[in-house]
Amino acid sequence: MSKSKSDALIQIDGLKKYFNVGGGTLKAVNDLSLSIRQGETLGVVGESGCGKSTAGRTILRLYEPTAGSVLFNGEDIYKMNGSKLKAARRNMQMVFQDPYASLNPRWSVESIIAEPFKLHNLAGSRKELRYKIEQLLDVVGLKPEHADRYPHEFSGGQRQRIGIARALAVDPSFIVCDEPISALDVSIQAQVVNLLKDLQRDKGLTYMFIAHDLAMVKHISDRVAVMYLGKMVELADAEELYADARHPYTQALLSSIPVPDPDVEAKKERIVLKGDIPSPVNPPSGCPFRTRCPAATERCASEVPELREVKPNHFAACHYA
Amino acid sequence: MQTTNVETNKGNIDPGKFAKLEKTPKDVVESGSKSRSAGQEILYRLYTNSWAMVSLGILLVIVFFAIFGPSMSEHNFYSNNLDAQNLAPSGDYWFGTDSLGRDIWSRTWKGAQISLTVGLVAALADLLIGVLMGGMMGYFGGKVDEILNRFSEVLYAIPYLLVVILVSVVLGSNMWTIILAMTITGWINMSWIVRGQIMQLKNQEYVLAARSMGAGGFHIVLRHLIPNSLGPIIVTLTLSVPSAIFAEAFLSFLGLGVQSPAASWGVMINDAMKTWKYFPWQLLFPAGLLTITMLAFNIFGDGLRDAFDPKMKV
Repeated sequence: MSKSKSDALIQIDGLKKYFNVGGGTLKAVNDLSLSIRQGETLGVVGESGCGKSTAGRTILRLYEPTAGSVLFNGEDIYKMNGSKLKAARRNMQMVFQDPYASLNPRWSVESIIAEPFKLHNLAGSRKELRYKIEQLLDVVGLKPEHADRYPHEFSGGQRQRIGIARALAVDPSFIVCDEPISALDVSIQAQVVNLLKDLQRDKGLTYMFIAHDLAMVKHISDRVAVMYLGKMVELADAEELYADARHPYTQALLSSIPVPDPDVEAKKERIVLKGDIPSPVNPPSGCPFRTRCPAATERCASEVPELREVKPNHFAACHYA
Repeated sequence: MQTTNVETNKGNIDPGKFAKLEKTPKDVVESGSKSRSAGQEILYRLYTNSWAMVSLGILLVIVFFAIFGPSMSEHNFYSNNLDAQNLAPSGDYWFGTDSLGRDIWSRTWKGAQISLTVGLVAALADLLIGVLMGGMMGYFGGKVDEILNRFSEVLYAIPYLLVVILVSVVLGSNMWTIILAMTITGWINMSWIVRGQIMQLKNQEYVLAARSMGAGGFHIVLRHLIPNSLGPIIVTLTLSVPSAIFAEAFLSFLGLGVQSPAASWGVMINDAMKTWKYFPWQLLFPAGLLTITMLAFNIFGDGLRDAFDPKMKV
C-alpha cells in the first residue's frame, strides 16, 4: 500500500454489483471507488433506489460483488474465505434500517446480543457473558434488566439501541449504518445519532453512514458522498459540500432542505427535479443524471462524465462542475 | 404524583377530589409484569382455549386406552370364538363381539394403536422430508428451487390412490406400506409451506445481521429460519395427522390397507357394514372413535393455529 493511502481503513476500487432481474441486468452499484479513512464518518446520500444500501451491503460482503475489490486494512475481503472471512467480519458490522425487522422476534435481548459472542467463541462462562451483555446495554443507554425482555416490548429507538449494542459486541472498527434513523421518530433520531457520535469518540469507530436526510448527514459526517443511479456523483468534506455543491443533482438535493426561518424559506429557490429516477436496468446514455438535469447539453448524452477533482479534495462527476 | 400542588393553583379545582397515589404510574410500569417469550405466549393462548384443551384431553384419553385398552380385557383381539358370535356389549365383552366372535373392545383399541401410529409416523415423515426439501427450496432459491419444485409438482400430479395400489402390489398391504405410500406424496404440502416461510424470512434484516456477524448457513437455518417458521409447521403437522388417520381407515375399508386379522378401524367398519342393521355396536364403536379422534385433532389443530397467530382468529 502506498504511503498516501495509509490512513485509509477501507479502500473500495471499481466496485460493481449487478442483479439479474426479469428483462435485464440491474446495475445497483456501478463502478464505485472511494476510500474511507480511519476514524471518519463517511455520509452516503441519495434517493431511494440509488444503490446506497446495496453498496453498504456489498462492502461488507453480504452480497457477492460482480466486480471490484474492497481492501480492509490492506486486505481484499472478497479474496478471503472460511475462517479468515469470519475473523474479518468481527471488524465490520452493520446497523440496520428497520429496527422491527433486524431483531429476531423470538429471541430475548440477551440471546440477541449474545449471538455475535457465540458465533466468534468469545462467550466465556454464562456469568461473564451476562456481564458483557449488561455492559453493552449500559453503553447504549439501556438498563441491565432489559436483557430479559423481548424485542416487541421495546420502542423503535430502544430497538435501534439493541441493534447498535449487537453491532458493538465483537468490538468492530468499522460500522455501516444503513439508514439507522429513517424509521425513527424525529425526536428519537437525534438521540440515536448522538449515541453513534459518542461511541465513535470513545471507541475510535469508523462509520459509513447511509441516509437520505441531508441535514442529519451533515450533522454526523466528515465527508459526504452523493450517489445517483449506482454511481457516485460528488464527494467532498461535509462543510465544503453544503457550502459549494458542484453537481446539479447535489444542488437540487440541498435546495430541498427546509430552513428553520419562514422568511428565508419563502424566498428560497427550490430546484425541483422533473420526472422519476430512471430505471437502473436501463440507464440513460452518457451522464446518468442528464434526463432530469436542468443544465443538460448534448455533450451529456454522448460522454460519460468522469469523477474529477474540481477543487482540492472535492470531486464531482459533471462536465460543467 | 404532584397532587399536593393542586391547592396552589388559582383555578376552581377542589383538592378534596384528589388523592395521593400509593404507587406512581412509573412504579407500576417498572415493577411490571414478567416478560413472556413468544413460546410462553403461545402456550398461554392455547391453555385458555377451552375447545382445544378439551380436544387435547380426549386425545390423551384415546392414547391411554390405545396403549392399555387391549390388555384390560381378558379377551385378545384376534382369537375367534364361535360360541360368542355377534354378542351385544356386556360385562364380559364390554363392546360386544363381531361375526367371528372376536372381542370388539380389544380390536377397537388395537385399531386405535394402528390409526395413531399411522397418523403420527406419516406426519413425522412428512415433517422431516417436507422441512428438509422446503428448507432447501426456500434457502437456496434459484436453480435448486426450480428443480425441486418441478419434481414435487410431478409427484403431486400422480393420484395418490394409484401410488398406494402400486406400492401395496409391490410390497404387500400392511400398515407400513400405507405409511410409505402416503409419505411419497404427503410431504409436498409441508415443503411448500416451509418454502414460502423461509423465502419470506431469509431476507429479513436479522438474518442479514447474523450473516454480517459471520454466521453460516446451518446456524441461520436452524437458529433463525426454522424456529420462526415453527408456527405454520406445527399447525400443518397437527392437521396432517387426522388426514393420515382418515386415509388409513379409508384404505383399510377398501381392502387396500391393513388386512384381517389385524385390527384397524377401517377393517372393522368394513366388517360391520354388512350387518350393521342387526348389530349396530359393531359399527358404532370404531366409527364413533374414528370420528371423535378426527374431530379432536382438527379442533386441537385449529386451536394451535389460533395460538400461533392470534390475528387469524375470526
